[in-house]
Amino acid sequence: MATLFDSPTRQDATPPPRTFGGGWRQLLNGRYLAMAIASIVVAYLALVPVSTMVYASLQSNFLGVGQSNWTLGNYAKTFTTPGFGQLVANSFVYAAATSVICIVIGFGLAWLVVRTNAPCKAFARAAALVPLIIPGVLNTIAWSLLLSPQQGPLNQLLRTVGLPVFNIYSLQGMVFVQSMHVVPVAFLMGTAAFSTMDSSMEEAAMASGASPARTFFTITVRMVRPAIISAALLMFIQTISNFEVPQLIGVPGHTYVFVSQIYAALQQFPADYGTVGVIGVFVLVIAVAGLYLSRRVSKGAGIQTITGKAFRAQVQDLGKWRWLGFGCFVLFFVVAVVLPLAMLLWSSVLPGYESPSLHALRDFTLSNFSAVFSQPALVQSLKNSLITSVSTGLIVTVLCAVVAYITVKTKIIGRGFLDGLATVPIAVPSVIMGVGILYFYLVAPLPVHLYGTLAIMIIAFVTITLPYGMRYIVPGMAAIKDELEEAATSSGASWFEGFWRIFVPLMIPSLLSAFLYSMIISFREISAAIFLYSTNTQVVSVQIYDLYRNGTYPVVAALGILMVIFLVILVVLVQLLSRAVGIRQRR
Amino acid sequence: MRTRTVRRAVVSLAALGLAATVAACGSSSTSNGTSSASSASGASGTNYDGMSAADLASAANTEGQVNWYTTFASTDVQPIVAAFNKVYPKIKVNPLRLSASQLPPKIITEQRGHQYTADVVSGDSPQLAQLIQANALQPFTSPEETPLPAGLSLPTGYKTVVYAVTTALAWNPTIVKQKGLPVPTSIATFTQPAWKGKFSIDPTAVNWYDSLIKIMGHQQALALVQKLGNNNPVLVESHTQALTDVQAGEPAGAVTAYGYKASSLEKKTPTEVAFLNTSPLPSSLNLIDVVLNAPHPAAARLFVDWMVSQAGQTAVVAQTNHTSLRSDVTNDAKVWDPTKWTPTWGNPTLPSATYNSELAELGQALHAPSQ
Repeated sequence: MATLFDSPTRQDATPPPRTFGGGWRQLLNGRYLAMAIASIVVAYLALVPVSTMVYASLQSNFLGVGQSNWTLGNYAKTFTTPGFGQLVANSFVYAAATSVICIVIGFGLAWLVVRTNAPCKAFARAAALVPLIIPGVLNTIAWSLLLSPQQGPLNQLLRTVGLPVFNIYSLQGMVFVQSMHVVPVAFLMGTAAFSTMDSSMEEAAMASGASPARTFFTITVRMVRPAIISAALLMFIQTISNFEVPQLIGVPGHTYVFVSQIYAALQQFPADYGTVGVIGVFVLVIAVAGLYLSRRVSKGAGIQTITGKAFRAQVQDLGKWRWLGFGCFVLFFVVAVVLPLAMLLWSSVLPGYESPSLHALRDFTLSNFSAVFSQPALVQSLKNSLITSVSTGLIVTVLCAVVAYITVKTKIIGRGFLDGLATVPIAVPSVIMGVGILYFYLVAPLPVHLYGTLAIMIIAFVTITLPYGMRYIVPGMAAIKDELEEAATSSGASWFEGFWRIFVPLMIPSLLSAFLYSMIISFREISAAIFLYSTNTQVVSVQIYDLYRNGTYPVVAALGILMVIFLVILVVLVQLLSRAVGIRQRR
Repeated sequence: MRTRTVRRAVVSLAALGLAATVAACGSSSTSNGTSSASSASGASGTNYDGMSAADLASAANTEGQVNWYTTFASTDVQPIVAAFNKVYPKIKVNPLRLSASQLPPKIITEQRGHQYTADVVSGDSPQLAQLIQANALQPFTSPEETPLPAGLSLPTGYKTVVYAVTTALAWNPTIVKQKGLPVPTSIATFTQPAWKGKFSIDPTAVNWYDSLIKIMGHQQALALVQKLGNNNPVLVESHTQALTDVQAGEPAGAVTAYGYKASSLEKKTPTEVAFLNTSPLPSSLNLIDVVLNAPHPAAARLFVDWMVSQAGQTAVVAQTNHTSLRSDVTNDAKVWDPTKWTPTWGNPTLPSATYNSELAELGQALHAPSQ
């Protein structure tokens, strides 16, 4: 089965790569040109923000008035700032706790869906993935209304039943909101891991008399350990780089993390780019170290247990407990989807925010929805988001297809390095990406000024989503047998024709998934966009944030509802398109 | 067959997307009229400041657009643009809404990168003062500008005032009654234990803090904000958001609420918003200036002229309830009446060093992220 979010992990089904001989004339053919262009683009995308951040961190007066010299002073100043230790501690606790919660929930749900006979799996898949579609800033706003300490309807409910209230404006609140938002990523990775895991060892354990629980903890969990580590690291980095939760929940409640410090440094006069650079490098080093350790641990843990073919994952009978599994799906759906969307819907039909009550419905109105379309700035931002996200999806899909071909199907020297470069953006928090790209395109002596254009947004979004696109396309590429391409070549087809007529049709599920995922992420991205927008280039996520800060909750909520409807329709359309070509049957 | 159809669809999508990208890149760079230093206003040698109103309007029409960086609330921006376009329909206004603290870094960063995008900037006086000190603005004396309030001074060429803004205390009367909280009578009310964690404050409100220093003296002002900080305030940078939070009931009060917005909301929802002007009343100016190397120098001057004219000021007051300093424009009497509430002005030309030290002091007192 191939769906939008299938198999975002690599498989070991990679066929033996092939070498390309021949003279220098071959370098001019389409294959090598395409590869060369893709390699240069990936290297450029990955290295620009990183090197600019490093440079800024080593300058005494980056983008300032007067002379700027090389210095380590920014590092000394930042690391000795009172409160920096607390900032590091908060950031780590926030990101680590979020990762752990997401792993437990995401992998737990994935296990129930893939490896058990819990009912209503289609519903479970939808329940686990819809939060991915809700833009993070809207999710955060909805939860801050639902769980505000005094007036939040959920806290009022807790108070009514005699339970203590949950203060959203706390580290725990940040962890909770971010977790609800990031669980789908863990679910996706968990689904892929459990789907491709050989269940023979579990069967052996059960046959030897081990209980289901013992089998789960001693066999299943150990076998998916590499995927767990990989997912945890990814969510850790995503959380560290998240903008909306620290700004909308952390700052009001005095809980500060790296992003709040970066944002505060940028609001000083003159902006303290040195501190921003140092924090960026600090996070980058941690992320790269994490990636390195993750790869080492994955190798040591025997990733060969996760393969892509030749067996089916054994489904475990949960007996009467299967309905408990169903209850888990429903509970997650209610908490992660129904509650925030209901709060948005409620806010969108009132002229000003009021706590939910029948009395408040006397002011019911749909004017907020018409207000969305009557504000030219909002309409413009919707258009901009559409242009940037569709362009990003297309560019990422094409780029990743070529890069995946190089890394999977060839033996070209440096393909491993290229693979690494395409992964580097994972280690760069989006907020740092935005600042790094801003720096570069302001100071680099380029022939074309991209600052103030949508192109700079697209560059940022492509860089951010590139590694994820690779995760969708590489397994699809690896699964295609070499003979097909060889047959095309021996029949006289050029490389481009072979690529276009063999690889593209067979990879449509992976390509569509990569396109849709990168499009959705770009559509809701704010962490980088907040630093890059200018007149006429505002995107909808930034508009939502701005409207929220101006207290225009109802219009924000109406816009959010429309965005979610649009993204759901888009996902459904792509799914239908996949089915139309019989992809599901083929797989 | 169906696969081929899908492939064609993918190709079409790709072509459309790439075309859109190119179009977007091209249109943005041209429609914004971003200029580099070499194509700045002075380069043409035209003396825009010496032009008659008719010539300026004609030149502005030729330029066709103006890029306006502003701190006006996003919901207020479009009606003001619409009012301008009623008079000058051929000039497209491209607004960029930013918070006060975002404004100077944005313009200065752009200019350091030799990108001159903004034509006009309007914002709080401390931030405009920073831009003046960074040589990011260019002097322009509008024939429409009104005299500054007594005791205030600004450098020549930078004296155009859009509105005066006052900071009031606001609270939700229903919640205050429900929770038995003391009704605010002064800032000190919010330092009482009953209000602990139930009010908001802006940790970047330097103009308010500077006024407070003038009213009370530095040590007493600092002691007061420290007491506020120790009473666990909710930190909300946007003054408008602070008021809509009060309207929604949480937090129940706001120390740094803008008077104009509080009055508007009180009229609409009197059971949810009430406010109090203190006397002396912390007040500051919102200014408008032409940006250095503005890509549309004539349209920039025309826009500034209109904004501070009677027509512009009437539109601003009608749309936003802000306070105009023009004597021929009527203001909201609940917000602005110097005979009842004596305005105490923050320094409109606050030096950068003082601004940074007051910002750091305020942030530290309120336990905000270190700045």
